[in-house]
Amino acid sequence: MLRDVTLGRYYPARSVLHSLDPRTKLAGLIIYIVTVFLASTPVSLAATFLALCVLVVLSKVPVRFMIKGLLPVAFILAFTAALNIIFAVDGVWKAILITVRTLEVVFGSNILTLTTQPRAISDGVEKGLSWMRVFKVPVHDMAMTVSIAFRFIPILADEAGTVMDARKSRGASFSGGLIKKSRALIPVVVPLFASAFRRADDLSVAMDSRLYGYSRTGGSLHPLRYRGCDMAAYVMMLCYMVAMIIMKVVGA
Amino acid sequence: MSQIIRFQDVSYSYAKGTPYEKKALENVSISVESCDFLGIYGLSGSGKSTLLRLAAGLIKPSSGQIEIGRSARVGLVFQFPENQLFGSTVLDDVMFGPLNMGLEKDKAREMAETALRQMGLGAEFYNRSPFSLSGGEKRRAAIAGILAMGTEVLAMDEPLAGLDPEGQESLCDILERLNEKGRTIIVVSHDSDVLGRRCRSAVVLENGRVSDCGSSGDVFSRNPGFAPLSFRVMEKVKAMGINL
Amino acid sequence: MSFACIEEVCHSFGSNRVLNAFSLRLESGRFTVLAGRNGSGKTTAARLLNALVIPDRGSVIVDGYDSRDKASVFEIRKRIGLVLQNPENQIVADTVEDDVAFGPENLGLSSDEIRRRVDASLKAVGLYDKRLDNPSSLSGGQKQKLAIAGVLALGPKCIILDESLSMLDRPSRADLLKLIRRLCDEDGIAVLLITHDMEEAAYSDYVYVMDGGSVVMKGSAAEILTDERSLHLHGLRTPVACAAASRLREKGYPVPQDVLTEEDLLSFIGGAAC
Repeated sequence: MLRDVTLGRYYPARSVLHSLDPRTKLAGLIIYIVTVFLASTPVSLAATFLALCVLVVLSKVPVRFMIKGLLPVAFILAFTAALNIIFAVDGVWKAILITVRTLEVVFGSNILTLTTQPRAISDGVEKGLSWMRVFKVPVHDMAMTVSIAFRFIPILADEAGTVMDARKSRGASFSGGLIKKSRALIPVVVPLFASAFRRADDLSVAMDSRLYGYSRTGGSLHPLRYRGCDMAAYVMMLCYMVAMIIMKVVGA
Repeated sequence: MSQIIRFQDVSYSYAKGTPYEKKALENVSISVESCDFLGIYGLSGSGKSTLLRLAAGLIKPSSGQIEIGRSARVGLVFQFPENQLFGSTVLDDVMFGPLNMGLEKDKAREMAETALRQMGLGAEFYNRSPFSLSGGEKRRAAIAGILAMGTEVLAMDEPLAGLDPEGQESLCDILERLNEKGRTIIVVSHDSDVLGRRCRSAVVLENGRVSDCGSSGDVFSRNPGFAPLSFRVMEKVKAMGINL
Repeated sequence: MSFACIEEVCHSFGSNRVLNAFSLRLESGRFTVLAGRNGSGKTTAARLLNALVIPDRGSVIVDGYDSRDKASVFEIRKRIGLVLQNPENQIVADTVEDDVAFGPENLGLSSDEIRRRVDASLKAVGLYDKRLDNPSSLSGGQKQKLAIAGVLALGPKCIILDESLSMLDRPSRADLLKLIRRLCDEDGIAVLLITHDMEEAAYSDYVYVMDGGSVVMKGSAAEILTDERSLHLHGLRTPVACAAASRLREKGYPVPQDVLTEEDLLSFIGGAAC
């Protein structure tokens, strides 16, 4: 199961969304999330949902694949919805609102990670936040940390699987109640941390040897450049946002 | 000699049904005799580790059948087993397996002490922290953890990885002694140089399929690419009519 | 004038004395091996060369730069690249070419120059057509080639490989040894391979053997690898072809001293049979 981690994984395909600049997509995600929280009526909510469907279609990622990564979230959603229906005034509408909003935010973010390579996301975030360097915020280091962390997720996931297998082959059991499971995981987590530290040690030697940190200026292999499709996308995002704001103001 | 493990037409795929699906083994049929010392060779990615996991029952085949001999069990030692040491003392860690099998504490201790002795770690190691041991000692303690479970078959994934020449020879000596005392030993390795001459039988895996199997001598003759360097060189020298 | 010089270095980690009057020289265009059993101090010795470890006593001079001088560290690390043992733990990016670009980007070069160096390095190691692939999809041997490309992109005059072949299967090992030989012979790069596998040393020009923190044997590959007894004393094995060559010599066959590898031996035998 650990080896099948699909949440946050890139899905290779040729689509409009795949070819956009990461900054465009990040801006789009932020705008989308804002509109999702602006929408408080059935009409505006439907509009955001329609926008999501358009994005899903444009991404050319199979819906089945997207849903697979969202099953863990489904449980939390169902729980929250139930609480609202039982306890809140206007409970049913609140439940729908919260459920749909959460789904939209999660799906929306998922579309970003499915259509954008981790390196592109971190480049986009770094470029977008580069103004923070004025305030001595280590933007480049943070971006590096995040992108390396992303890279090692599947590797550590595999290793966790191996450590668990090694414990199982000595008779350890990972089934049973929550407490029993947690106890059984400690002898897995500790070696995993040790291994992560060992890898980090090696990586830091490798990075130091390759002169990490000696220059924060200079060019990069993939300088981010806006193209026509990005400009078109920005225009459409702006129109969508304006439309949603108008809907809010008008009270639809 | 009876068969202790039998693979019949076994196939296995990882991540079935996702874009990341990968076929690791295809129609593999192998039989392992009791008390054999078997070497499974193949390049990285040929399916060797998957084979071991199937033999140990950690995963189930996608298709085909695996038969393990009457009341026989397979103890599996993973690559770099010392990375999973966890007990507060060496003895505690080695006793983990036997205790999980339901043995009484005294019996578990006895099995653990025997296993440690077989791995060349005497009483002075029992109460030390596993992390205070040298690399070679840690590996032997980790192997003892599986040995103490008293399984008929001991299967090991790259047992010599990371050991220097002396460490490799002494571990091979220990494995040979265990085999003489009646344990079936299966080792998986991409390199037959040191293990090759200790193994009586050999299997070669290529791209998830068995490409050859039989006695070590025969398999090495037919697959010089996987033969120990010493074997290859001696064969070539002999072939030139030179007698060494 | 040697490219790099380690002179009488003593170094301890805490109370543990790791290096004892250790000396070593690296020459351009020469493939040098530093061999020793586990715990002999090889890895620490390697880290002296690119200023990752500053010696307690003694000196390390690389191309005229002293490693104890903080201002020289940048120049030293531009000239000496380090490839580690585990292919996985050196990769920092999601595509092959991005990983190679890591070094040049840290040098502050222009985007065009970075692209030029990345392409040249990938072509030099034979990974150019995999430049857009995810490094996770590469084999162990290819990952090590990627690491070498990442180091080459810095334009070094010396590459240190710290047991970099030990986790690879035989064909990959042979492949990498060929690449290393080519970098040495054609590009004049000084290569230092740290290992305990003397079969790898059979492809080198010069061998240092270490034990207990100091150099105990040094000489040309042919001199050192044929000294079976001393190698065994220090926990190392003679290469198979060398041992066979010695046996043949004992029987009266005129095997030259520089027959060290399987290929050397087979071509000698093939010639002798004619």
